[in-house]
Amino acid sequence: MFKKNEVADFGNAETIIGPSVKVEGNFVGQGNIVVEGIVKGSVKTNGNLSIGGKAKITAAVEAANAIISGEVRGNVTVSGDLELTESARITGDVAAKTLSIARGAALNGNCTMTDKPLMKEEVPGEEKK
Amino acid sequence: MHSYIFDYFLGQKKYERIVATIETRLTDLGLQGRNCHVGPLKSLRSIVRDELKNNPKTIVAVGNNATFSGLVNALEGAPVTIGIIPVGSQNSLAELFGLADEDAACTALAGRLIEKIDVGVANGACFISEATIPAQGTIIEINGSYTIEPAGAGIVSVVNLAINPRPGQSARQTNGALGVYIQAQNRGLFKNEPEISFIQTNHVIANNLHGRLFLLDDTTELKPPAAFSIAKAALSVIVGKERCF
Repeated sequence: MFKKNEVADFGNAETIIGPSVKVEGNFVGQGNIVVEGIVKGSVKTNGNLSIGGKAKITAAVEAANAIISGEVRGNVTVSGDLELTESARITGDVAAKTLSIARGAALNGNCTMTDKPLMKEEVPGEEKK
Repeated sequence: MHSYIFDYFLGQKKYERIVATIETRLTDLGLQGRNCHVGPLKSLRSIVRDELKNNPKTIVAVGNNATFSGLVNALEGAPVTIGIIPVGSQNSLAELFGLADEDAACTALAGRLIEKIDVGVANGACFISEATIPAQGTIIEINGSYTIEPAGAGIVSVVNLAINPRPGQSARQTNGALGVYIQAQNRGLFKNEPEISFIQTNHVIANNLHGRLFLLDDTTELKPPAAFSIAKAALSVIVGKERCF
């Protein structure tokens, strides 16, 4: 689904959660995130998110675009493109603008497709009311 | 006026010739100043304190990483330009600043190319490059919102200015943020390769449940728990043209 030079650029990941670490809490990032390990808590970023085949996330996930190959137990909210590869296992609701599901992927939950931006983007310098 | 602080180890006979060469070179370049020598009764900290009273133009550490690190910590935030003339081994910081040897450092002092660099702060102690601790038993809290726990053996580094860039790291300087690198490995039957995790942040608290110590800039030990932050552009350093950042 994601063509090269298009939306999802994971080459310049600003955050990498490797397979040998365990994260607990609310993980909030600004740039591209690659998750290969275990996260017990939410993952949120304004950039792209890649969840590797051995990754396990137990909470909600929010990102601009996402490729999921691992296991997510929680809702997945993506404002752009969401790709589930053949090894993806999702238990929760999914919301995205466009969705691609490979043969073999498991999705147990409701699916919502919308054009509206799902994530609130904060403009630098803009005052919060 | 320049102040030169010669480290204690330079009193050894084998360094006599190098020290004499440095002093001659500085005189040739018109950079002569006060030469202070660290000794058994005069610490680097007390020398820096005394020198700051004279409002020096530059304070230069003559020695190695430990000398420079000692100078940075002794400054206690004083707004003075500093430099280093590397002598002996363990001079990775000088290499980072593009000062390959004592001659190149003296030339750089004459050129006076000043770069403002960020300084990492751990429990009030300053570090230029990185703080490291064994990964096993280490728990890292990022911005008070989540914790990271390495699963296997390895090393955790809190990096301000990287001497050796890690895989995937594009720049040595992390632009006003600390980089947390976790190099740990899950031991498997066939797989024993280290796996890297990387996070950029401004505030880190790290503890080690096994009582291991942090090592700041490969010179100073620090007992955890340690709270890390970054002082942006806090230090003016004279660098060479071949600097690595």
